[in-house]
Amino acid sequence: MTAKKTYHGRAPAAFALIVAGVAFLSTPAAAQRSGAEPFKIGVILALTGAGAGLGIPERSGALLAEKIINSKGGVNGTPIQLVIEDDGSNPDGAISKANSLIHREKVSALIGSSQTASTVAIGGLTDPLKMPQVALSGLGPAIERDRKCVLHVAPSQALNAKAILEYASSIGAKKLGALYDSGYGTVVYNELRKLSDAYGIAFVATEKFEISATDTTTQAAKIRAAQPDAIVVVGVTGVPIRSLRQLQMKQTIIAANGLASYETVKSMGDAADNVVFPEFLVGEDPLPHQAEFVKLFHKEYGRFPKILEAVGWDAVHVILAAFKKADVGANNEKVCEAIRSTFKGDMTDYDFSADDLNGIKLSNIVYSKLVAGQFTRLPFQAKEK
Amino acid sequence: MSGHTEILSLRSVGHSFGGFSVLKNVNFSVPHGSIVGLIGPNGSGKTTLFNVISGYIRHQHGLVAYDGHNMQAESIQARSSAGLVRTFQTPKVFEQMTVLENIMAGACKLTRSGVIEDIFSLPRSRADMRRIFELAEEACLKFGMEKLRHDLALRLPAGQRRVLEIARAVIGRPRLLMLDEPSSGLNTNEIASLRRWIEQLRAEGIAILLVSHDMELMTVADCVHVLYFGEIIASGGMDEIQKNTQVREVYLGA
Amino acid sequence: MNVGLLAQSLLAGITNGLTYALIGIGLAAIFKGSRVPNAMQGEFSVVGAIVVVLLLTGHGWPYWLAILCGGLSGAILGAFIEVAFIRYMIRNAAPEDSYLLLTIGIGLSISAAVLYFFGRESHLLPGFGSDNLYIILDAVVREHVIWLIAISILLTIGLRQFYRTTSVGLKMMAASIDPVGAASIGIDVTLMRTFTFMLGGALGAAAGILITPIIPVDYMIGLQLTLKGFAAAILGGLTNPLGAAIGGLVLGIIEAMAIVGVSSSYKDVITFSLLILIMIAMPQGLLGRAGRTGG
Repeated sequence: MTAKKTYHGRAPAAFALIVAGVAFLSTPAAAQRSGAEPFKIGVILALTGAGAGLGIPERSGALLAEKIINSKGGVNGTPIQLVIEDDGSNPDGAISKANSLIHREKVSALIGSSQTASTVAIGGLTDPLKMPQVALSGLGPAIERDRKCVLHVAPSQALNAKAILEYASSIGAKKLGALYDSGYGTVVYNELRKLSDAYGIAFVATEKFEISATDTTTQAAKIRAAQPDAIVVVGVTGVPIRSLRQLQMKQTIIAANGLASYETVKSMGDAADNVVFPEFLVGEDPLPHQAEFVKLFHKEYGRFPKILEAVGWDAVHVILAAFKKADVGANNEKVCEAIRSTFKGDMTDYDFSADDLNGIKLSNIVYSKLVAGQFTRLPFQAKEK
Repeated sequence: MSGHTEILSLRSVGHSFGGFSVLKNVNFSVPHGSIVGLIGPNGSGKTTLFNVISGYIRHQHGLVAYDGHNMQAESIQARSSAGLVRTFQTPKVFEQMTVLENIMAGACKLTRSGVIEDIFSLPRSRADMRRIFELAEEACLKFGMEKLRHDLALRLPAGQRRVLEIARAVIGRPRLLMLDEPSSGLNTNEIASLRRWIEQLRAEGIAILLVSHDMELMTVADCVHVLYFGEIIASGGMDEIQKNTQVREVYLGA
Repeated sequence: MNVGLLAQSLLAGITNGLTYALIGIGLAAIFKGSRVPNAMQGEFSVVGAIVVVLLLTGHGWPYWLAILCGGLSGAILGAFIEVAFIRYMIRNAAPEDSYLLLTIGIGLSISAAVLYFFGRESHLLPGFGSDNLYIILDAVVREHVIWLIAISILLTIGLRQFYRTTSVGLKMMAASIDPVGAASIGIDVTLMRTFTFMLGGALGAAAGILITPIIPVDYMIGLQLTLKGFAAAILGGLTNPLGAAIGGLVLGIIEAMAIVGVSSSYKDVITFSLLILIMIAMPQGLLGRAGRTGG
């Protein structure tokens, strides 16, 4: 009897102690925030799932930006803090993370996401609040043009298509083959189709393949049979390029910049040769204004950055520039106004006041060529018409 | 333990299912090279007894000794490898294999070569397979199945399945063969053949434990035990049993 | 359409078809021996290929030795899965559908483990033989593809021989057809099941090693391979390795012909419509009754 009583007596006390302890530990210590409150920027990226190939390099660029900026004193003396979330490559995930970042973390601006669907989903939350959002995906459906505070640091597919045709035209190709995937490949191909007449270029063989297809030999064989002057490839894996080269096709391959990464080059194996990319950043031979960024990135990560890392880096700097202009404590409208101007990024030059909310010009495109697995910069430059 | 004259010995074997005693204090034995019969009404525990002896059930009480050794801890496969082989009320054959392959499967326990030798087709493995093949061909002849030997077992009628099951069991040189209702589904001619085979097996030195409803077939046994709801109520030759008043009352329906 | 295009497409169809066939053969072997539908068969291929990549490019081992270890790793993984999971479930009389769930779960876990330990990069293996290219009827053929065809044929024939002419093969077939009856004639059913999984694992690993010079391996490809392998195995009657091989070839060739004869956009629609028609017309699989009863 007595023992039972003691037991019952102890339990509530122990329970109270545990609850108190948990409560104590979960309240952020006031002492931590003895300096200024950090300037919070929410970042939503595709870190897992199908888009992880985009989000992960974007994150490394953004994190480097955070580190370098803070080492230089942050923005107006306030350190910045990136709050990074994963949308799992799907728009529902993006919405729930955006809500948490906007309302719980109370971020001042948002960066995200890596893919169009998620970007549009997040835009549905930031647009009514006029909160500045820097998207890492290219311009998407029509509604994006109405969202004047959602800016894009990646080029539109229309620009990509134009850049491809510019190069094809410059090497005198009149008949093109196209091998494109069922994802963004189809979007780019449609743009190519719209513009090809103006360049006097005809597509003599066009073949589609699934995004994750492991072999495209038969499609490549059909293209070979049509004997094009050059071949356009739009996809995210090295498979189509390997299939073409394994059939001994010697024509130049012009590939969309989604393939311009060291990972894809590795999966191309021996086929990584005589492939031209209209892109923005050749780490081995950067443009003068890119040299500093390339050096910092190489120091931090031991490898060269490419487009995805660069957009991550630029996105953070775009937001910072806007807040420097409008001041850290300014309301959303003011910042949105400030952000809609020109910006000299490390990847390229932007004009966020433009209609397509990125203002990237054809003349900003840097053409690179894969020679025996190495990126080299081509002297060719597309001229704005 | 009086193990040496008996291939199988049961002492006070008991087993219950969910509180209901299916076997109570069963005592009997099977001498080497003899035929022992087991009869009794449906539900008296004959199949349970078979399952206990062959290892499909771990009995709760008593001792089951095979060739002088306590079988309590032995698996079904271990008992079979030691020569204790049983058949089933509905004949079990490997339907998607041919008659010859079925019998060959029964002979596998006679070989010693291992997996590695089989994979690399080493000499000992190949010699073993030749031997198995020859033994199986002989068995097909012996059991009158040579014309059927490349037929799939699933095509066989009930009578032939029974023969195949027995042939498959016998090729592995069992020392005690347990036949559970071997005559069910067979016509008169087939039962006569079955009787001849049973006698021949005894002549070859194999002890047989036979369960059957067929009183005519049961006369082949040297000794018959009557199992009545888990207990043995009478033992002896078939004519003695048939004269036993208790047996007549409860079973033979006199 | 010219002869060259047709020849190249047919060759591409055969090559891809054989990759499906190789996975399907392992699937059929495991199903034949244990009645377990193995939704992680493709992961054996990933593990086998990754082990070879590790030993070959990471530690500089000779190719043949690395391949041997790759095959062994598949067998060991198969044994582990049988002993650690399948055995327990069988002992507890788990319902049939739960095995499929189990193997799906194991497949996802292995895929995640590969991602965790080896990252998201994809890897290619060197082709067998030389880097020579051969031209047959205006179609380009890598030497490795010829090896792939030859080894696939050898594996299929070898597997049939194994089941029919070795005592272990006979016992494995018997144990899966009727475990109760097999035990009564002295067959160690549990051990035979472990062997079945080892065999399936080794076959899966072999498939991965043969495929990886053509298709780069990464942590994600396992599921894709499994799905195609299942299609091949089901076409062939699910318990028949020979049927799976033929099923895979048929699948690959239909795909290629759909692309070249109609359009690459409609490849999947055409392929799966034809598959459905085949299954309706021949529900026992391509090899008919013989297919279901064991090959």
